[in-house]
Amino acid sequence: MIPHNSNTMPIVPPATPEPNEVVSDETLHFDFPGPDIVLRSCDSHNFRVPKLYIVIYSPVLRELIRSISNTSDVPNSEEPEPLPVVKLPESKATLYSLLTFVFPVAPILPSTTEKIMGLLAVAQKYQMDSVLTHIRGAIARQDPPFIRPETAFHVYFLAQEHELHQEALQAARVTLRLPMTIEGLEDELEFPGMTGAHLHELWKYHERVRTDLKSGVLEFRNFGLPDDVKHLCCTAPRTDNRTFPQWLDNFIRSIAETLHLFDLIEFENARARHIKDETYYSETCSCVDISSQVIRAFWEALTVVVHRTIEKVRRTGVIGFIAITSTNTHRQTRLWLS
Amino acid sequence: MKEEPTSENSDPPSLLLCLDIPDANIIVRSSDKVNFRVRKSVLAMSSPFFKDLLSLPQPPDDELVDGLPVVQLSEDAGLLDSLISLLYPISPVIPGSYEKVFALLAACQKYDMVSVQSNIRAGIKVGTFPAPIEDEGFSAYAIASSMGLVPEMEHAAQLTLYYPMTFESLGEELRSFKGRALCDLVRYRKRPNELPPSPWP
Repeated sequence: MIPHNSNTMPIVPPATPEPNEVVSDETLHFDFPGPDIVLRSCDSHNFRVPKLYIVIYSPVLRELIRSISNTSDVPNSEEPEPLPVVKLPESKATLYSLLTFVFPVAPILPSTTEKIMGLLAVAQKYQMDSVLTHIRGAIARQDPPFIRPETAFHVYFLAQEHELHQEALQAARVTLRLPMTIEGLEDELEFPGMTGAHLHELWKYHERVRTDLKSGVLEFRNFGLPDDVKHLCCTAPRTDNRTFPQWLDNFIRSIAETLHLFDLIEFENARARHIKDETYYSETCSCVDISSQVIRAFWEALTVVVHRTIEKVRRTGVIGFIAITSTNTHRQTRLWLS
Repeated sequence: MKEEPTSENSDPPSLLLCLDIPDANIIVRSSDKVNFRVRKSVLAMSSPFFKDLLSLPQPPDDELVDGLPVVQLSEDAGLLDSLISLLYPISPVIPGSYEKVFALLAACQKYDMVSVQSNIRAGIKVGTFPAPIEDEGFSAYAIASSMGLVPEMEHAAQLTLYYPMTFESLGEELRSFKGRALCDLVRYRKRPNELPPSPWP
């Protein structure tokens, strides 16, 4: 157990706290008790820390520490011998934030999307797997969610730039909810990390999802409809026979091409348009009486199909196959599909 | 003017230009190690960059070939062949594609060869040098943008106005857009541009 003194950051209980949001110069003091190494940022800030934590969490830094000389110009206030110095290319703010996820202190996430992605990239560079998980956990607890429609393109391009495959896939999934045309993107094309290659990869990902969804929803239409939905009949005056509602059939089949319109409101709009059109011909069709229970059953079943199909498409170009199991992914998916 | 490749390169590119310059006093070497014997004064006259470079004293340990100093450049022999041909009163070696013409223009830009660059642009206008046509506008814009060739960007952007800019139509070409190029092109296309008359039948 590392002792706590008044000059150090407070040691917190094991329960995971909510991360703080801002790293300021005033809070950068990080002298952990029992330091035996100095991590020096590119802007010359010294972090005196016990190297045990560092070598346990990072095989890359373990090798770096092993390779450096034991001589240094940084005096240790407690010991007569100077501490070895490891010079790192990261800024003091980034290192500080990283160390809050290494040591048992209140974790601090940087304040901007770019810096958060930069922090993840640093943890990935130093192969700090459990720290990455810790950071991702803190990100997943953000409210509003870190990756949401307004931030999805930004996060996606940064994730591609930093080769953060998990975040790239998560963000790519959220972009499925948005219409995507080159000329419609415009402002998103200014985001840092945006390149034609990354955008092309995102487009190919959308294409793969579309292709899989086409067969997925067709199978759903033919074999997967809940019984109450399967037996729906449209009695519109213009319909010769009592048949499965054409507007509902069209809606199901359109999902693959217009996934960004996969939304309960859009569904109700389609139904309302149909009823309005039929009312024009004097009689009301039976689609006006579809019960909430039937609509709910239909929507839940369709959602499962869409969800499952998207989950299966796990490649976004430069990204290899990866297992997505983080809380954040499920949360994002739930948000979208809810 | 062109010299056989050095012993390091046994498979030289095939070059058409072979001009004997008896008073050559410097060797320009391409990235693929083809030596071009030229006159310093010609280089200096057409390029402030070379004028400054050649005014510096030559380090004593610099390589000499037949007693001539060697300037190593990053352009390949094909490009230097064209570039050097444009410095002399001979028929220019005209690149075979607009991409190579763009590379030539970029080299002129890099070496401050303003007048040579103007001559090439004049040649493009009258059709002596190849230029992008029809649906090549998108990739031409991406290349010109990556090389910082502003007039060529404008011309290419105009060409794109005849075509839709979609993921489907661009396909793999999209990958060649770097930095702000894509964003700038989208914004250009959204401006109220007056579509010039189509140059194609």
